[in-house]
Amino acid sequence: MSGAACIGEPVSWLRLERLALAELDAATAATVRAHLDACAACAGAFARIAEDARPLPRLPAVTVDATAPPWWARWRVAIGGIALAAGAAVALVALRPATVAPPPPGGVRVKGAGVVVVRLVRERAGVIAFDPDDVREDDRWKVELTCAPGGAAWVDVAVVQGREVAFPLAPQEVACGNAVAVPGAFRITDGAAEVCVALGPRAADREKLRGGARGGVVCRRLTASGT
Amino acid sequence: MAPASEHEAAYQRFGPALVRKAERILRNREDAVDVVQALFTELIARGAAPVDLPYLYRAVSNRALNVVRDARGRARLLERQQATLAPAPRASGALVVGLDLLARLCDRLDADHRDVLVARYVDELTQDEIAALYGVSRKTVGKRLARVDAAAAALAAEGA
Ligand SMILES: [Zn+2]
Repeated sequence: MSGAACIGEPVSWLRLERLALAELDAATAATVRAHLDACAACAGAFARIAEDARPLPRLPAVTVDATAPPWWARWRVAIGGIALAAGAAVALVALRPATVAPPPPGGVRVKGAGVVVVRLVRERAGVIAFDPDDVREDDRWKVELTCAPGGAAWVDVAVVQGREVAFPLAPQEVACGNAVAVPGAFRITDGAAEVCVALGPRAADREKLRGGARGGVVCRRLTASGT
Repeated sequence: MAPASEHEAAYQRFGPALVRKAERILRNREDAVDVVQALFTELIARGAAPVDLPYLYRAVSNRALNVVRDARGRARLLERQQATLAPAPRASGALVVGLDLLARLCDRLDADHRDVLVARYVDELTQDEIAALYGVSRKTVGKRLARVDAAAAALAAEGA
């Protein structure tokens, strides 16, 4: 079925899909149908849609715990190289004469991206949880960033377990947006861990991260799950 | 906040079309389903209202391209790719954008041009449709497309 050329301008896949969903207005639908009657290439494309009977996997259940404290209250924030509990960070910022508006707790201010907010996403047996508190070996983890469109930030993820520091993903530059997933997923074995996300205008220095540098880093502690 | 059941309904309605779209970019079903499910999961978590197919098309392009751009994702895609998931272009003489070419073009193009590349050569949208989908003028689409074509030609010349 490859190789067939359209007799004119191909009907786009979007338009064919909308025809299949009965979303096109009557005039457009009639025009498209007339083209399909005359064009084997586009009729073949439409048949691929109409004949696609593959079942769609179920959507994983999403748990959004409305009673949980806001995520930033549970992230540990690093400011000026010292990791602090979120409450203490707020106090410190409040006492300091403000030269630049401080980022929100949990957010990191990155040159070229403004304030970048981090969210940790866990998939466990098909259930998605945001900023959870515990880890199991079969969990699948992802990191999401929110920052103003137009900016970009370098991201590196470090999993800290005692003296061991692992980097499960390649450092990468991510274009800002609303809850943009950092490409790649990872697993955490061997129980409790601290997941740290380093953000900056360039790739983080991993040796410094290994050495405990926490400037521009937000970390989240995960306990080992009982089951 | 839109209830999850509305998103479920939107997922059932638009999911197959979006998976087919993601497959044309990623060339394997597993990654395509992942991209579409992640999008709906995020919409549910944000309480965002279910939206229309054109909006979802843009969102899927964006997410699928992020997988292609990521070095590890790219290696996995090249390993898993199934040519049958992406039919040959229907316009004679159209640029054939396989996974390898797509990945290499992504390295050379910014987000706006990557969008046009996928819309034109993967989803086979007309220039007018691209202009409407991305809210830019037809002239802008033409310029971006010329830049995409030039990048593809440059790659081909380097390979020759
Ligand atoms: Zn045709």
